[in-house]
Amino acid sequence: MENGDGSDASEQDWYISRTHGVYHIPGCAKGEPFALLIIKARGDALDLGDNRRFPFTITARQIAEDLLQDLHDHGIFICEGARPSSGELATATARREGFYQKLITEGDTMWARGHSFREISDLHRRAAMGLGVEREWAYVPMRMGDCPACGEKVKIGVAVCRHCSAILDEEKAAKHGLGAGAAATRLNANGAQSAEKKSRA
Amino acid sequence: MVHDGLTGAQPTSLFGILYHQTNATTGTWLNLNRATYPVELATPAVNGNNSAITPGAVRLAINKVRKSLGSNQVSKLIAYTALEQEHQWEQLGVTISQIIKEGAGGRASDLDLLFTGEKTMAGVPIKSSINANQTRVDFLDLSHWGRAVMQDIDFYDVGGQTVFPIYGTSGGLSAAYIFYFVTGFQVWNESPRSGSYINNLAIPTGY
Repeated sequence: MENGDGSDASEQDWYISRTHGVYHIPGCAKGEPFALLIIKARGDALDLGDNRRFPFTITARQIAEDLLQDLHDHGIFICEGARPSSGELATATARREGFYQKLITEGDTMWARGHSFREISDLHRRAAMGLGVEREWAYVPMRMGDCPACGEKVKIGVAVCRHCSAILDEEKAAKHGLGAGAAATRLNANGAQSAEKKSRA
Repeated sequence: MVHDGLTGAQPTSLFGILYHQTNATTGTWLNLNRATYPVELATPAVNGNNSAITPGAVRLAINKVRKSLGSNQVSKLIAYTALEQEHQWEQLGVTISQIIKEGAGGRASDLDLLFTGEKTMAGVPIKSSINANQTRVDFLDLSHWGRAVMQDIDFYDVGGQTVFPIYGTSGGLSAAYIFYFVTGFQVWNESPRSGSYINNLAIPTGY
């Protein structure tokens, strides 16, 4: 293998320093399936003294495996081809999600022991956010809006105020069977049914 | 650690903590090929995962030294780190602090919500420095570290002359003179597995 192509399905950047160079594993940009780092073979040398050197080559595969070490769980892997296949990406994603699940379980256990934030790391919180899981120990601040009816804080883009039940988006509310629009639709439907019954009679 | 003026992709200069304390399995260490000794030369490491330091990471780093040497073989370590990580460690302590109102040689009534005394990580004294890597905590056993001095520091001396004139652009003497210090030394470590480190730690806001 001439090139060791490392793929990163995680959103984190990693900088790794070696005597043969500093490597930057880029994080996966939002909306992209992966980020790619192409690694090439490097040369190094042992100094034998008396101006004699023993040069040797470090293969791209060796470098890639060295760089990864404990990063596999973050969705980083060495792809066999020039680009990662969908199968490789699916495996990496599944591995990362498994790792995240383990971290969430760990976070739950630590939280249950004493409700202490000290032991729960940002990585645990990142895992919860990554899987979209809500936890007390992984609070995610979000932008809120004011309900025009009662003034309480509500999530942006919701159809109904959770505090005063005011309809904030009629179209969306009707779509989910809520509010006057939905009632009117129901009435129309009932009216049509009764008219049909009358005509049958 | 690379001196100003050195060029090239891999200039070799003074070795430091980043050179000696690494879990690399490729490259070289003191003229040994790391690939030949992937375990023996690798310093136990804990990945901070771009997160703030936690007691669990510290516990793991210290226990990794115990596992690599034997639980009773760990010598006296120091936790060498940057002010940024010392800050994070203190932040963890703030959450469990309580104010002692008695004793302390009459100073107990002074309100100090932060920490002024000696700080440790699991009993390992913290040695903080503004020159340390901002994202690392290195547990070092200094009995395995040293400085090999090939030439003691002294003035650069040419036939007894240690102060030299400076010439201006006109070719005449400038109203100044110059002297140099010269030294020759290298930093060594004889046991890379006697320490450990936590890297990729998050830096608190404001630094």
